Amino acid sequence: MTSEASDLQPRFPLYIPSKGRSEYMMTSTVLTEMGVPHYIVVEPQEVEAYQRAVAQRGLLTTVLTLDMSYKDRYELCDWHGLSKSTGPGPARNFAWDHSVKLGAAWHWVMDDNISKFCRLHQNRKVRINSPAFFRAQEDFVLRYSNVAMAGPNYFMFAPRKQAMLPFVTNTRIYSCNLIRNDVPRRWRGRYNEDTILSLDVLKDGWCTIQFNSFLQYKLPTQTMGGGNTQEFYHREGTLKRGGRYADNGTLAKSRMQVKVHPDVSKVVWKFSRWHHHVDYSRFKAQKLIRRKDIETSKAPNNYGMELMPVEMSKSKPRL
Amino acid sequence: MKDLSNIADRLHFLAVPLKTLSHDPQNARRHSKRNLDAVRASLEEHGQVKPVVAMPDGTVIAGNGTLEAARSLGWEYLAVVTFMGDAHAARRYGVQDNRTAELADWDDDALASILSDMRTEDADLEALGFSDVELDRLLAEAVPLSLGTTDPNEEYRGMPDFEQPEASGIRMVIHFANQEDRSMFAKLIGQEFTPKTRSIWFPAVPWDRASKEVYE
Repeated sequence: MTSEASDLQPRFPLYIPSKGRSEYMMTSTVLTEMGVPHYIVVEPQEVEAYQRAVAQRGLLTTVLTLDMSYKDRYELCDWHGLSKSTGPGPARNFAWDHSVKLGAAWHWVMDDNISKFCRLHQNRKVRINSPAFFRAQEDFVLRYSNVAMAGPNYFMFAPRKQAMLPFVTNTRIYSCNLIRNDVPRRWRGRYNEDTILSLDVLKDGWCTIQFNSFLQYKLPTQTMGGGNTQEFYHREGTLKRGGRYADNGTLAKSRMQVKVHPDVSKVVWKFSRWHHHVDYSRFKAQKLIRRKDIETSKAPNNYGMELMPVEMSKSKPRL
Repeated sequence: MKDLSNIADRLHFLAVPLKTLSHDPQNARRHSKRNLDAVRASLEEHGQVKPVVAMPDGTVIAGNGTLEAARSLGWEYLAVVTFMGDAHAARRYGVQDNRTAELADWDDDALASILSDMRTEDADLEALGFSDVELDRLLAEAVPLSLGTTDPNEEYRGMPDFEQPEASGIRMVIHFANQEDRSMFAKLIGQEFTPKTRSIWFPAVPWDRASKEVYE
């Protein structure tokens, strides 16, 4: 990394809502190795456990206590009230408001089970251990006046050998979201809050940007204890011995998606579990609009990132 | 002396003190902050150019948003047409007044053309009641040149290097009658197969070392 470190730090605050995973703190570990300070949002009864873990592991994490009234006020999009888990939505809304109070124009909010961030280039998916991962994406979205949300694609959805564009517009942004704070929307839904918010902003006329040039490696849903796995999927479905996914564990989730955005969603059975299929094609006509006050260079800017062998890196090898 | 400067000249004879007017408690129409901001912006820019409608007792049945915006601007007078029907008719009129406006659609092309002209004249478009994103969308459709290109590769200039050529190769399936034939084929192309080998590249491609490298 040759550029000034402060030039590479994210402009906007980062938040990780987490529950029942103080012993893992996977995303916090990765961010710490990247040298990126961040917040973690946890429920009051877990604050001590998380603070202890942060201190023991020397993480660059500030623990924020979730204001539980966010749960009472949360729009769950079903009739079960607080008898079932609310999911991460209330904590994400808390993070949004927290960043507004900090005076930030945007904020990042991400899942707590991201194990690495990567770049895709020349058919190779190489891990990034630089805060430039966030800064570069921020700089890109700031070129436009009508982007509401952006974020990296999933590692598994970017085949290494397949020709791909550096980004696609107007689709779902999931698990690691850069959100414009003045968008007049908030997270909602007990499940699918990523898809619901993406559709909410797209229907309002905004654009979204999903990067293929930047990727996140996230543990598959339902494979790590705590979080939604504990809260929804295994509780609502039956986990067969040796199986990864609970039967019917995702059905309620998919049904909710169809209920909230019926015009673009349907439930399908695929890859041994229920999924929701969303048709984003109607949003393809929404085009990015460049801000006139932003000048961009035509030459590549690698933000000081250099490729080097893992053994010379400060960070540990990852999956 | 009455200050009627906010009211169009031809409406002066309809002016009544604002304090004699009240909101209709049964008004089914809610006015959001955004709506009131737009009404206020219009009143500030043009003054009152059409009267509100009120019952003889001063209850406004059409123009409650105008009344609220005028109050927030500190106006003292408003032009009012008195509705002469009974309470039942007044309620019907109030609903019809709102609903008829609501049933009209925008001609997006015509609107975009108007907005585009206004932008050329440097007019304040936000005061028209459209959000930034709505304006951007409308203007983008009206003035394609303002879009720039939507080619992602072109848009991505100035960002970290990104080239992702198609490298999936050409696939074909070869069947072997037995293990002996499989081994013979491996020898023929100069590669080693293990019992777990299910696919190969020819010529052989070195194992990707991405997991052994990192961008620092």
